[in-house]
Amino acid sequence: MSGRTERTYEYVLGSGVDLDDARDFAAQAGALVAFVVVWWLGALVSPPQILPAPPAVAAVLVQDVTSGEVFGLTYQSLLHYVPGLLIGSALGMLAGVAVGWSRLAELTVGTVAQVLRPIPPLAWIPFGIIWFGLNHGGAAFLVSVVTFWITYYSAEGGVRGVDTELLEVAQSLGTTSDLGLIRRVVVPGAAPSLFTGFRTAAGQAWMVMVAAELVGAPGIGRHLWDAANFLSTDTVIAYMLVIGVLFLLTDRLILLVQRRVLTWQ
Amino acid sequence: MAVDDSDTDADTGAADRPQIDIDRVSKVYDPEEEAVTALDGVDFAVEDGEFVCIVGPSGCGKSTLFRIIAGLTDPSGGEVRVAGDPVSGPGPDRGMVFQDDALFPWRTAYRNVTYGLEEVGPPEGETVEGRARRCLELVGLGEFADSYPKTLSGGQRQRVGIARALAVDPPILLMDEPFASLDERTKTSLHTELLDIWTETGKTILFVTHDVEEAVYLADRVVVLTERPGSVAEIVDVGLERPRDRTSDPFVAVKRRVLEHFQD
Repeated sequence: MSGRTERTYEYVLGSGVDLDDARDFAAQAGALVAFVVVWWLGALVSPPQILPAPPAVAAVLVQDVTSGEVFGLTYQSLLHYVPGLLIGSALGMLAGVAVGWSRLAELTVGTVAQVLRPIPPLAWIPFGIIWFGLNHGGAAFLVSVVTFWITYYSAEGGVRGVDTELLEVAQSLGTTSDLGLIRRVVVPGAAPSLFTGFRTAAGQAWMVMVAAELVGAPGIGRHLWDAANFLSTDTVIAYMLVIGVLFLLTDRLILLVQRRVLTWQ
Repeated sequence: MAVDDSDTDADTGAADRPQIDIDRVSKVYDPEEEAVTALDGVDFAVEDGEFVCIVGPSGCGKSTLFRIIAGLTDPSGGEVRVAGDPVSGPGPDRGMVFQDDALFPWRTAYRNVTYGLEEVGPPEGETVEGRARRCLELVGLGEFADSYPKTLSGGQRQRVGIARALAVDPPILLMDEPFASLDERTKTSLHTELLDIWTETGKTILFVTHDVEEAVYLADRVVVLTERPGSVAEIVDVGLERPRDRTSDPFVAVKRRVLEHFQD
């Protein structure tokens, strides 16, 4: 029943309600409640530093939301999240489209990429610091490394997946230059892959926020790390949740734009 | 329209040049290892305004021949000339219609039709919009202008494909099994429509198919290819008045004559 997964997904997006959706919703809500109950039970038998209870975490969240601290930290994180994501994705898509399209780019850029690919993104932290400093610059660099690879591979795959017949038709209709074909056929044809890559990259960029802010940039990840050093585990969990919420918001926002732009799908 | 094929070579004046001249075209794949000869000296010509169908058993290389005429594949030997000029690539003088429509899925029907117009401009004295609308009307899809391909039926998509090819007003229409995946009824009505369009526009049409009845119904002449390596087995002059009756004795006789080449 492949249709069910699809409907569940629709439900999460907040559209359409029918009986199947109601049942799916019950399952989802039940799972979440069970998760919190297990967590709470675990917290009852452990010292608070090892596993803080849900109310303690909720208290931190309420306090930091009312004081506005969450928003201030989010803003700080966005100062390297946004430029890192945009620059990394732009370069990744550019390189991916080039490698997917041209044999020469595949042999040159593609070969260098294969050498650099196995390097764990976190291994770039020293160079992030040396080249861009212990600040937003260094953190943005790390975010862009992570997002580069994701968008690079999805763009390359998307370009290779464009139907060659479409390129042939375009040529018979007068599109002769490579640039013309890329602009008018390859990019629109690969757009679903480009969007999916960007969406995945935007999510992964939040996932690496703690590590990225180890270079000294202020923000949510840094705050979480400082709290951990003071064993304020309730704050740690609170900001784990904050990152989760930011992830979801970003993801839904991009999906919304994607559906607007790719109405033809 | 009895045109014999002795005029394929050595033409001088532009006036008596054939529109499409397929001059001893051969194609060998993978010449280094185990060479496969797909086409072996295919030689015939298509006159201006003629409707010619190419038929042959599967694997006879008719799609390869189509691709060579379209300029998508280079021949290993011989050449194809269009209006006297050797073909060196695809171009707006040869509109193409494929079996699986090959519409741009991200463009509406209307914007598919305008694609070529955006590149090479509308024909003399017409606007992009007027031309595109007229071509969609011609294939009976005026009201589907704003539909995306995925919402159209197979027959409608093929119609958009034809309108898109006609929009830039190419003298030649190359069609590679365009109706092969359609049901019988849709196919039959598209046959009528295509003949109407052909009569109205005076295009030269080269139509590849494996369906002998379709070829005999549509074509002035049917070029029958042999099994691999493909070469011309016979060029059958249909010579029947249109509209043709698929069940009439003369029609069946022509059909039988073509089919004889399919039996071994």
